[in-house]
Amino acid sequence: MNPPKIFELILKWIIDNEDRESLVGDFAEIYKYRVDESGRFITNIWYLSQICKLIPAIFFESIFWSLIMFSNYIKIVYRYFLKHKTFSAINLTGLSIGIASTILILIWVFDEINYDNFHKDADKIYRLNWDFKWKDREGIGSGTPPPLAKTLLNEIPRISETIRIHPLGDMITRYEDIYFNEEKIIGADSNFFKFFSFKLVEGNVDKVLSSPNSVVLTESTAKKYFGNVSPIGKLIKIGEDKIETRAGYSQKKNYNSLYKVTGIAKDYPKNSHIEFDMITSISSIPSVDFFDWSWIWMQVVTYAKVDNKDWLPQIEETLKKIVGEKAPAAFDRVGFSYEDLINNNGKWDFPFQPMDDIYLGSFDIGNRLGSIGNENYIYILASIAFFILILACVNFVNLTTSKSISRSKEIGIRKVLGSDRSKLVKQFLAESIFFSIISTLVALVVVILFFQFYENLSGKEFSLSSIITVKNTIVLFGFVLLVGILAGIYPALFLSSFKPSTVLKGNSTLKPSNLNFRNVLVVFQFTVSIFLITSTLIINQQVDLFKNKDLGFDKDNILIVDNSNNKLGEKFESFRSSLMSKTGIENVSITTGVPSLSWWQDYYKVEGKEDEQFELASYHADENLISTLNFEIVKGRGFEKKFSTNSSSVILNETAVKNYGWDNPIGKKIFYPGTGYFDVIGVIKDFNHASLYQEMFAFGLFHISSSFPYNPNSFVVIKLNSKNITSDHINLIENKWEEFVPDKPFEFSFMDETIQQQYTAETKLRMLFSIFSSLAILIACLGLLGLAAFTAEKRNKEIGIRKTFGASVTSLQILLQKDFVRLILISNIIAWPLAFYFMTKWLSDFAYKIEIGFSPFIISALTVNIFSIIVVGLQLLKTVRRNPVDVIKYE
Amino acid sequence: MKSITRIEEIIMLSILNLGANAYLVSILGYVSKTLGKSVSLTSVHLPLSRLEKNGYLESSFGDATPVRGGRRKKIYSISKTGLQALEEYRNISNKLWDSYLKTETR
Repeated sequence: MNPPKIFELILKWIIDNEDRESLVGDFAEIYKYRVDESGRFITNIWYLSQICKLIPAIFFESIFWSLIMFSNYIKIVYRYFLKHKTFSAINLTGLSIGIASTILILIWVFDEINYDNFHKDADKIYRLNWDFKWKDREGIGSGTPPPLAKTLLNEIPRISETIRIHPLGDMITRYEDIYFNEEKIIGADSNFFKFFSFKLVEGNVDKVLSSPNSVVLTESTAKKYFGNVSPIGKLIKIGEDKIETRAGYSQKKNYNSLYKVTGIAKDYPKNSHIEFDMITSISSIPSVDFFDWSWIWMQVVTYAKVDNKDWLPQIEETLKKIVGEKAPAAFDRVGFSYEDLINNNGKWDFPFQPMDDIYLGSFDIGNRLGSIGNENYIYILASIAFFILILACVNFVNLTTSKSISRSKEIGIRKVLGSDRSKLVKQFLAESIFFSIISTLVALVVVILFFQFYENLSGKEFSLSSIITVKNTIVLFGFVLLVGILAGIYPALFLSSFKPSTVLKGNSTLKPSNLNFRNVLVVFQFTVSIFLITSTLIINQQVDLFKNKDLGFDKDNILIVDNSNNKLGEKFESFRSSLMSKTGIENVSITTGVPSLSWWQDYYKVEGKEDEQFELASYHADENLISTLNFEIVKGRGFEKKFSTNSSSVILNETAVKNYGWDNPIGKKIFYPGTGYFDVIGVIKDFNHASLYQEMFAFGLFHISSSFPYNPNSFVVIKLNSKNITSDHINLIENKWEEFVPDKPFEFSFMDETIQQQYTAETKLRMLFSIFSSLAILIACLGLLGLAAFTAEKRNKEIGIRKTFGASVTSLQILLQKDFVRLILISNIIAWPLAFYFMTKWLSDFAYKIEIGFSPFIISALTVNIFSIIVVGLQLLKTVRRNPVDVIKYE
Repeated sequence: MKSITRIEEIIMLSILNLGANAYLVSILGYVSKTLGKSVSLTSVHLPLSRLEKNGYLESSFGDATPVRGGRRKKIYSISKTGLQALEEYRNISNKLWDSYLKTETR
C-alpha cells in the first residue's frame, strides 16, 4: 500500500536537500503503518497535513532570500541601463516595437474570433444552411424556406427553440417629413429578444414583435427619427402600401406599410453577425406568409437551439427524413420533381452551423444579415504577429550577447564570490523580464497613440471595454513573462557559462559556436524581412493591377445614383432631358445593373442548342448605356429609340457568343422560359462586369422595356465630361432630383470608388504588409547593429594590428562587411522561394493576376543589403577609425 | 562545551540502542515505545537534522526495501563528538543527581 504518487511528488518538490529520497521513503514506511492502523483515508489526510506543515517554512526561506537577491538584480539592471544608454535604448525600441505590433494584431485577431460570443446561449445556437445540388448547380447558402423553423420545433423534440429572420433589403422609411433609405431592416419572429441576447431598452420582451406591423427601433435609429421624443406608439412608414401577387398563384396579399413602434433595442454589438437598425414582426411581411408551404423559397434565415451538440448528427438525420416527406408536395406545386432531384444525385439538405463558426466559417455560405470575416486573414495576421515578436526577441538576444565582453568581468567576479550558475541565470532572466516589462509599458503607450489610426486602417471598431478585461490583463502579464524568458534564456545561459578564470584574466575567449548561433539568428531575421518585403512588392503589383486594369468600359467621371424600387418611375425621361441640357453632363442612362455593383443572373436556352441551358448575367438598360459607359460594339448595333423591337432584342458579349458556338450571332435567338425569345442585335466587347477575382463570363444586355424578370434594382448612371467631379456637379444633380422626386432620398456613389471597394481586402493586406515589413526590417537592422558591435569589439585588436600594417579604412570595411553580406545573401536564398511559393498561392485566387517577375526579388534583396551595409558600416566606422595605439597598447 | 537538549539525548541514545538499524522510522518507533506515547514525525526529524548539522551524527545510506517504495534508508550513527556530547550530558546529570542524593541521605 503506497502513498498516492502525487503526494510524493509534491513532497519531493518541497524538500530541497539531499535527504529528499530517504525522507520520502520514511514517509512511505510510516504511511504503511498508519494505513494498517487507521485506514487509507485518514492516512492520506495525515500525509497532506504533513506537507502543509512544511510549506510555510520553505516559502518564507526562498522568498526572503530571493527578494534580497532580486533587489540586487534590479539595481544592477538600472546601473547597466544608465551606463549603456544608447545600447539599452536600441534594445528597448526593438522590443517595444515588436510587442506593440503583436498587441495590435492580437486585438484584431481576438476581435474576429470573439464574434457573437455575447449571446448567452452562443454555444447552443445553430444556423441552418441550405446545402443543395440540382443538376449542374450546387452550393450552400444561408437562406432557408419559411416552414423550416416550425417543422424543426414541432417534429424534433430535442430542438428547444427556433427563430426566423427575413432581411427586407433597402427600404425607404419615413416618419412625417423625415425619411431615409434604410438598409438594415429585418423581420423577425416574436421571440427575437428571448432567443438572442440583444437587449431591449423599452418594451415588453414577449410582446414587442408579437403582432403584425410592429417595429422595434435601435437607440440610434430612434434618435435619428425622433430626436429625444419617445417613439413608442408612433407610426412609421416602411416602404409603400401594395398588393402583392406572385406570378402563377391566384393569392393576393396586402402589404400595409404603416408600422407601430413597440420598443427600443440597444444597438447591436459591434461583434454581431446579425446587424439591424429596425426589427419588424415577420408576420407583417406578406411574402413570408405566402410561402408558408414552400420548401423552395429560400428567403429566411433560420436559427435553432440545441442543448447538446452530440445530438446533432441524429437531428440532421431526422431532418433529412422530414424534408423528404414534406418537400415533394412543394416541388410539385411549382412543377418540379423532388424525386428527380434526389434520383439524379441531387441533394436538398439543411445542415446545422454553430453560432461561433458563422462569422469566420461562412466564406462559401455567406451571411444575409451582416458581414463575414476571412479566416485566412486571421492566420496571416497571427503568423505575422508571431514572427515580429520572434524577431524582437532574437534582436534582444543578439544585442545582449553582443555586450557580453563588457559584462564578462562582472560575471567572473560574481562567480568567484560564490554565485552559482543557476543564480546567474536567474539574474539575467530577471534582467530580460525587467526589459520586457519596460518595453511592454512603452508598447502600451504606442498602442494607445496609434489606436485611432489602427481602427481606420483595419476598418473595424474595437470596443475597449471588451479588450480591457481581467482575463486579458492576466494574458498580458503572462505574455510579458513569456517575452522576457524567450528573449532572456539564451543570453542567460550563454553569459553564465563563462569560466571565471579565463574571463578575469582578460582573455575574452568567445567560442566560435556562439557566433554561429548568432549568425543563424541574423539569417532568420533577414529571411523574415526579405520575405515580407518581397511579398509586399508582389501584393502591391497585384493591387495596382486591380486599380489600373482596363475593364473594357469607362469607369472615370461616372456617378451612380440609386433608383431602387424605381424611385423616379415615369419621371425618368424628363429628369434625363433636364440634366442633359446642363453643361458638364455628357450622358445619362438608366439600368438595372452596374459593373461590380449589381447584375442579374439566370438561365436561358439558345438557338441551335435547345436541349441545354446557358447561364447569362444581364442588365436591363436603356439605349444610352452603351455610349455612357463606352462599351465597344464589335458587331451589329445597340438599342435605338426608333425601333419598336427593343424589348425583344438582346446584345451579347463575346464570351456569350463563343459559348454558344455561333459564327454569325446577329439575328440568332435566345429564349427565356416562359417569356419568349430575344433576337441578338449586336455584340459588345467583353468587359469585367463582376470583379477581377472572376473570369469573364457570358453577359447579355436587355432593353429596359422588356418586362422580365422583376428586378427592384435600378440605377441612373451619369457621365460627366469634366476631368474632376466637383461638388457643383453633385449639387446640380441633387437639386434636379429634389425637383422631380422630393420625397425620395438622393443617394449616389462614384463608379471608380465602387469598383475599388471590391478590393478592400487586398488594399488592406497591402497596407498591413507594408507596415509590418518596414517594422521587420527596422528590427532586423537593430539586431545587425548589435552583431556588428560584437564583431567590432571581438576583432578590435586584429583591426588595430592591420591598421599599423597600413590597412585603409575602406579595405577594413570591406573585410568586415563581407561576413554580413554573406549572411544576408543566405537569407535571400532562403526567403525567395518561400515568398514565391506563398505569393503564387495567394495569387491563385484571382482570375486576373500579375506574373511574378524578378523585380520584387531583386528590389527586396537590394533594399535589405543597402540598409545593412549602411547600418553595419556606421557601426564599424567607430572601431575602424580608432587609433590602433589605444587598442593594442595592453599587449 | 557541547550542548544538547533532552530530546536530542533521547534520540541519540535510541540510535545507540538501535545500532545498525537506526533510521528515521525506527528511531521514531523506539522513542515512542520508550516514552510510552506517540511522538510526531517532525519532533524527531528536526532534532535529527540539527544534530547532523552540528556533527554529532553521521549518516550513510542503507538498503532500499519494498515497503519504502524502493527508496534507500538514511542510517544514522553517533559520531565521536556526539559520543562526547552524550558523555558530557550524562556527567552533568550524574553530578547533579549525586550531589542531590548526598544531601538527601545526610
